[in-house]
Amino acid sequence: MSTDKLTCKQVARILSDGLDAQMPPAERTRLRLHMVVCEACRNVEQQFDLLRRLMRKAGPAERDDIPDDER
Amino acid sequence: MSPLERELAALHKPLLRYAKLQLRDQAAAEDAVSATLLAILERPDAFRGGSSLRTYATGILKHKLVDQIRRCSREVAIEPLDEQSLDEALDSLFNETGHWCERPVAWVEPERAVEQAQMMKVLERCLENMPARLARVFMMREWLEKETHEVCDELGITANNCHVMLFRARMLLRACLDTNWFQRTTS
Repeated sequence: MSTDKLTCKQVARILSDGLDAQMPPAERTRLRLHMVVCEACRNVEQQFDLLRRLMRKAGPAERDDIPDDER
Repeated sequence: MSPLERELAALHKPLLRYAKLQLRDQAAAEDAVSATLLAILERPDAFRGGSSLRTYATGILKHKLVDQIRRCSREVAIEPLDEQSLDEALDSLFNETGHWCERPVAWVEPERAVEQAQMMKVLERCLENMPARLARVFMMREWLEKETHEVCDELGITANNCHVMLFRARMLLRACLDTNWFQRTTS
């Protein structure tokens, strides 16, 4: 196992890969270490998770008549 | 027109929009939606009203889209990816030591966003604006909920290529929602 610290760029890719395949245990440990110290990457992890939930919920719905600027 | 037919007529456009988002091909999308509507009209009793007709039709559409992709994913002409400019766009988010140039901040009230129809429209626009190949792979994975190996097999791409494309798609969508929804709601 490499003890090199992960960069945020590597972490973003690992977080994405982790949503699609099992992560090797060694990589998971390095990832968790990074997440403990990096708030930006913690935010990205939550945002990737939210993206997944949004996509699972997405689909044709009764909203074709919602004006674009209605919030 | 029967009540069911009227409801299906109202569903036609929304279904087509999602079929187009997934397939990126008008004719193929129309075929998938027609097959969906036909399946419901042929067996109206199969819809028992346990869920909404929308949910029911969407479930059938997803199956038809998978069929369509299996049949003709290699035939549909989809614009090639400009890999270089995508890589450059991604690289520009990080400095030379691999840290964020602009550190991503937490999204405000993400749970509320999930419930908002308008948020879904922003998401759809972000998907529409994404390069077609990325959107197709990403939607197969996240909307049709296929396993990664199924996405790779059905589109005839390598696992690594698949992971790279999913990563790029997530980064683009994350940035798109950040700019077009979450920063707007906080400003």
